[in-house]
Amino acid sequence: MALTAAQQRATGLRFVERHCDAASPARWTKPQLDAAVVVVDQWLTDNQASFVAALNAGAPAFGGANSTAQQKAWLFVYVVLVRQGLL
Amino acid sequence: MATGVINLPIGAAVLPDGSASNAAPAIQRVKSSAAAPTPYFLQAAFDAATEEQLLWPLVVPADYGGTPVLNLLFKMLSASTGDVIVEGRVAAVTAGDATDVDAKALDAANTSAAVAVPGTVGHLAAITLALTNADSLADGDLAVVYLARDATNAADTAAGDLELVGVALSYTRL
Repeated sequence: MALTAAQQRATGLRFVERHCDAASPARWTKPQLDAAVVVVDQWLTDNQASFVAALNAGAPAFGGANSTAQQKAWLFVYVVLVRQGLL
Repeated sequence: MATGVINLPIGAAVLPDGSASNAAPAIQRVKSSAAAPTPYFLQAAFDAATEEQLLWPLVVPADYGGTPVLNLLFKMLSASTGDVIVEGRVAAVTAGDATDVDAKALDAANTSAAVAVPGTVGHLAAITLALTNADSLADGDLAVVYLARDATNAADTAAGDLELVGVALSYTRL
């Protein structure tokens, strides 16, 4: 489900609060940050179905009813974090 | 005409109670990362999403002649671009007024221009805010000075906390 405008603003500012500092400053204004969050949110909306379909096809033991939507989301996030050296 | 100055230390501010529309900034003790002995100071961290506020009660000096101005020094926690906006208000009561101090309201808001944040995190910038709406402030009054970051103003565009490190109220002396 797509984020509301309030959730988009809160998400961007939470990101700044936790992941920006003097060494990695927030070089974006709040509206610019909102726009970035909207892009990510829209990308997820656009690609959610193909992600689920890929899981079902390539890993049927994990896909479909064998994992919850939350588990699929967590798996996606974990893979992203490890790929970026964040976990 | 000479100018008088009242320092309003961060540590002397009264924090609102945290109820709806009464959010308070975090008061932080900061230790410089320089070698010891190192400067310590207090700062108030104003959120980028919620309007948070500080208040200073004071007795107005005998040489107060008008033209109150809030002078602020701030830096940013993480933002290196965008603008901030602050809002100042005053409540003033003169001894003998038919006013219930316990029910006293703040005068109308005085809103600053959009002030650009420093391009480097940790650098200082200043805001000058004329308190045009000053509730007929006069010498000898009991006054409460209110300060907030207008974080929900569309023109307050800087992401991340505003760290307020210095506040002074200047005025024209009699």
